[in-house]
Amino acid sequence: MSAAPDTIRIALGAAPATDAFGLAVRLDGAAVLETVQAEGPGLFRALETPFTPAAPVRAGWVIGFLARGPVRLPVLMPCDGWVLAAAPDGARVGHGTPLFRILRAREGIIP
Amino acid sequence: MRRDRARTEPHISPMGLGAMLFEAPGAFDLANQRRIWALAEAVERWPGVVEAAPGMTNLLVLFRAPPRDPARIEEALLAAWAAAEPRPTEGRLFEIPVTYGGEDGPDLDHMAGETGLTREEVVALHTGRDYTVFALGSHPGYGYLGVVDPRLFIPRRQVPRLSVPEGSVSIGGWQTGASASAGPSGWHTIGRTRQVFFDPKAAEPVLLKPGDTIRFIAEALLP
Amino acid sequence: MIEILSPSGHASVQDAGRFGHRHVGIGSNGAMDGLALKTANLMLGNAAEAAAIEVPGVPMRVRFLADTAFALTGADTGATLDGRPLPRNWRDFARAGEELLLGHARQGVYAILAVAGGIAVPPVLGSRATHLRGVFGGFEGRLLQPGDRLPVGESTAGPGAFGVVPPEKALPLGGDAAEATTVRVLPAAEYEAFSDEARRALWATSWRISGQSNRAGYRLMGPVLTLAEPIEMRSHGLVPGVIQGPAGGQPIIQLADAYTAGGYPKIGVVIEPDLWRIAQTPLGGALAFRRCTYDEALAAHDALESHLARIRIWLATCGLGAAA
Repeated sequence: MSAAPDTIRIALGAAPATDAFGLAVRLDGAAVLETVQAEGPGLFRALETPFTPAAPVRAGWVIGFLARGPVRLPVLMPCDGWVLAAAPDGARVGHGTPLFRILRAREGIIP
Repeated sequence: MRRDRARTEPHISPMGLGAMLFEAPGAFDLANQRRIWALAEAVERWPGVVEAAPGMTNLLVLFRAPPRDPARIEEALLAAWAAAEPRPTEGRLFEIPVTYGGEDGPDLDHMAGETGLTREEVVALHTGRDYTVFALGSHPGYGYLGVVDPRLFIPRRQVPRLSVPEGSVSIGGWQTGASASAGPSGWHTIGRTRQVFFDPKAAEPVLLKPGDTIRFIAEALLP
Repeated sequence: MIEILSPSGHASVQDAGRFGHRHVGIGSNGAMDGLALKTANLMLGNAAEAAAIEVPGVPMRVRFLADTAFALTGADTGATLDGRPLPRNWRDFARAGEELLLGHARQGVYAILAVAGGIAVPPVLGSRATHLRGVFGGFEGRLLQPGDRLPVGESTAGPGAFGVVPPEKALPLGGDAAEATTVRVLPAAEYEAFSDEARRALWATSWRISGQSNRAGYRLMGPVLTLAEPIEMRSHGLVPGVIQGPAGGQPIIQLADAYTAGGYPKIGVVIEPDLWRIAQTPLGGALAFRRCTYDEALAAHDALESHLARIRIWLATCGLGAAA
């Protein structure tokens, strides 16, 4: 691909190899694909208005919740980047369960 | 439940979960109201009662927590009413100067029309008797006064006024009063006074007490 | 301290209400959404009577002048702290100098901004609720203006960040009218005096909240509620939730700033545990009344208390709340 250095092309959907989120992501090296895991047991709860892949997210922002009873503990974005996919709302999770597939932005990409 | 004023039994009803309304039978008069004051004093001492707020021959009882057994409270209210001796009126007399008519008395003409009296006669009937403060309510420091001369009795306004100024003197059915602050009113506003009835900064914020007497004095009758 | 940057003349300081003075004409005032206030205070480990800022659905900007733990409950305002989006029903921590921005309410109406230690304006007659008509309580007895600096009470609360389940999920109350907010109503003293038509209409109508509505009461648009025969009422005490049917007029629901007494016939009373649902229904939105029995009303009260107790217990289990 001859993309400009700060352009990321993402192809989402059925592809030869899809991950736990049903994504097959081809990267041109401008970003790193990561997984955010649950830090403990609980129910995964999505944001009321979840971030779409088009919306840049900053490190430290709340991208979802780990619910224990009525309490909702924050799941934080670990770095600047984008949220590509999330676990289903209401899924019972344990320590280490993948919650989000995110793209870590290369330094400086998000102003 | 029929609704004429010659009801012979008290009527008690819950007002949501936090309150119950006790309505005394009989006429809208001071004798009945004195028993309401006595009932209020007794009920306020009951555990779980936040306060008992007298209205016009009625009493609103407010509870700290929703009563689990309202029937038992009804029984207790009936018993307390039966035992209620009329509390004597030991109030003070306040003479309240009023400017009748004009801009501050927008409903004086309507009252004259509906009652068939002249404006002067309406004012004379309003100032011609002393009123007892039956209860305080509606807004801070406001005294409900009774009983108005029967010749002045007309129904309340169909559409309330959105705002009448502080000190507005109005008549509503059998009742009259002077507002303690600006606000809406469904009554007929016939004049205005400069007397202050409520000051939150004062040691005693509220001027009037149930049992006080009010005498309106006509300072002026404006066209 | 919290400094108000904008807007002018909408928000006010409110607590759970001023009680015990109805007999001199002083009503309870307090937060329109009492559940949102209680939830926020729980999340901060505040006393239940701690005061907060109530924001009626309009955009607001405040600056924290010191490090402050705060909570935002009630309406979803798409709030951001120093640019960072905050979920709704959320407790977080602001550093001195950070700005909190609330947008237009996109779900619900009234937002509560509470702080650890409470808004520490002086209480008047036992409460910090603002009495707008009497011009006392709250912050100088008035709506907040840019430049107002609100004192914050002492607190040892730390930088925890967490939320609680939104109340409409925890306490669902389905209704037949999909777009209307359903609330439970007990018949009032004059219920039987209304015509058959009026009583049918009360339960069957999807009532629209008119623009002539405010903290004192909501005027409803729909059929006129007629009495079977005219009755002359005597002025009597009222509580928030009372639905009045003025002769030949549209029904009015008395709310937080309602006058303490009145003489219009009452057709029903919205139960106190459902008043928060009315508070979160916008002007132009619809209300549907569902008749309930006294026992059902008690059950609703208990369900709401259980919901709060559950939050308190789980906060403690997670090591949050007062200790956070």
